[in-house]
Amino acid sequence: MHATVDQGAFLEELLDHGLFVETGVQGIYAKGGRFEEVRLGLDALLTRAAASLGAERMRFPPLLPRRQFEDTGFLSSFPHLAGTIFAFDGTEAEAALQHERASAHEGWSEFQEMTDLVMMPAACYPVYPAIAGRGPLAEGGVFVDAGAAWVFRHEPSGDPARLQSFHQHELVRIGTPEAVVAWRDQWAERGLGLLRALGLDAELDRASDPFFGRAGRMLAASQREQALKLEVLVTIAGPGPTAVASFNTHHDHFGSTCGIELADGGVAHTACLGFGHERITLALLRTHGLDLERWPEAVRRELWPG
Amino acid sequence: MSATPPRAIGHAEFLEDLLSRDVLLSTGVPGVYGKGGQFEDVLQGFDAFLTRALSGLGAEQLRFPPLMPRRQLEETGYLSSFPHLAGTVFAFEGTEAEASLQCEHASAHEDWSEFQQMTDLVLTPAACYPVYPVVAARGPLPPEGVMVETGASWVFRHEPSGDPARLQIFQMHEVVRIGSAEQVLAFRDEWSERGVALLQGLGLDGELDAASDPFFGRHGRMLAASQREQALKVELLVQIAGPEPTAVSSFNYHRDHFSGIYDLKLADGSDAHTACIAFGNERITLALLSAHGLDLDTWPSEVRGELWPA
Repeated sequence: MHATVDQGAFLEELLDHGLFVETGVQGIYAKGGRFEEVRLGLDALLTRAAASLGAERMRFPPLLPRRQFEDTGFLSSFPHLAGTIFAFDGTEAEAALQHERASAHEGWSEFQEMTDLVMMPAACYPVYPAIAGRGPLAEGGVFVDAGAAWVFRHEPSGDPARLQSFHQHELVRIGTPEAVVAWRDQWAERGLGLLRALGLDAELDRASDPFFGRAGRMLAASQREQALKLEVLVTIAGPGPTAVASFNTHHDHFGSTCGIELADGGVAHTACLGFGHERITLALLRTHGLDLERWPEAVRRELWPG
Repeated sequence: MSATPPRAIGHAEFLEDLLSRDVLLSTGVPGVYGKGGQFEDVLQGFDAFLTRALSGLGAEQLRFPPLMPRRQLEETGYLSSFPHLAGTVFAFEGTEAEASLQCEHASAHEDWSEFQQMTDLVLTPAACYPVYPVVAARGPLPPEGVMVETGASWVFRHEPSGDPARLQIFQMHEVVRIGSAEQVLAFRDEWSERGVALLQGLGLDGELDAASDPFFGRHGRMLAASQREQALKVELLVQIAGPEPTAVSSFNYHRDHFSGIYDLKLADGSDAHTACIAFGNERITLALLSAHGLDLDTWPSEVRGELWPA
């Protein structure tokens, strides 16, 4: 994907100031200490907000079991964004040949076989089977803070806000249809308020996911019409604003595929909130400047209290 | 009367304890677990403790994602030494018809690997790998050399196991030292001693030992013997579970290996040497849980004070 002039200029600025450091692949950057300071401030802020409302903490690695992934329907909706893990399982002779090809930067994929792991597509995915494994939900359902997990999207881009590997901080609610929709709507307002308190000029809007292909356009229209996905939009680098957080309801999709039962035996509904750490950090840097010392006192207090 | 030595818990029993208390959460794949809040409290407490201990170094802070360019893996010789441990990232680049066929295969849990092609990314095998090309790109080193802290970085090893201390994906907190042979060796040796003291402060009895990496194949056995003989790798071993202690930290001297791959030059134009010190956050967390028990509230107050200063 091509970056706009504004996106390209912002990336240059980030690289010049050591906030991003190039690795040679688009959408894969190292981050400097200042960038990480902001991101960790945000992480702590979100974690405190979730903890104050009684969330249970769970943390997951950047990989998901392939079998679970196959059950979710991700490959129907977003085959172009998924990443799968392959590995070598051959003999010493094959290892030598593989190494020879790789050293010459020639194709060596024939030596790699699919493993039982894939890249984490979204931070909430591993939460559903973990909850399903406990048996029927207690009255009131569950509220999980899945923390800032590394997720992967295979979409190389020159836009610094479109990374291939990034932290998505997700909060997940599982319960009755009424409870999860009410929770999602409350949190959409709370999330919006939380980001505005950081000085961001944020707006809430209906949205759709980047579904694949022709059938995908219909799915996107239906998702938007039913208001299943709300996004918080902030201008990072133009032309348009960028989604920095999303608030999603899934009806009984995950309840059915993962087998999550309500206390009364019905199928549980789910909702999740996703905050994109890197995007919010970039929005803060764009809004308040690259010198953290000069950020408004009120914003600094939110991010780094005490 | 001498104290009874603590009973060594087996791998399977320890894993079962951790899972039954929701300290670890099963995902269905060995060596890939979710972590509950307790585990995360200890891991974050240790990571912050380590960060404070390292802060005197004034190291440059760089944070890398769990992926790195495939080209780097191809250049470093990792595929010669550890082909069995590497993970590569594949993705789909086909048509809508192929996408629906792929989805059909996958939904039936049948083979769909034919639809996936190698991308230009691999899983990061060690936290220090992406540091060298970044430093090399900046030109010759300053006279005092370079020190980079990676923080807790996710790394991958393709070795499914029932030992909770042998994860496929885990966080490694590294400091990389690049400079003259004397500078990097002095750093490596000083920090191996300090590593022992740091863990002692957390109530963990560790021992340093010359070690070798798990090189692949017959040829690998010679590499391992040579590495051990030259004392290039020193490990800090702590009892976690099972009959043998586990390496929770390593202190490695690479001589001029990485300057043979990347253009890492000293100010006088000669090849730089490198060393790295690595702390395995999950292993140290497990060692603490094994030593002090699964109920954090009953841990010795000195240990709690170090991990979670008020």
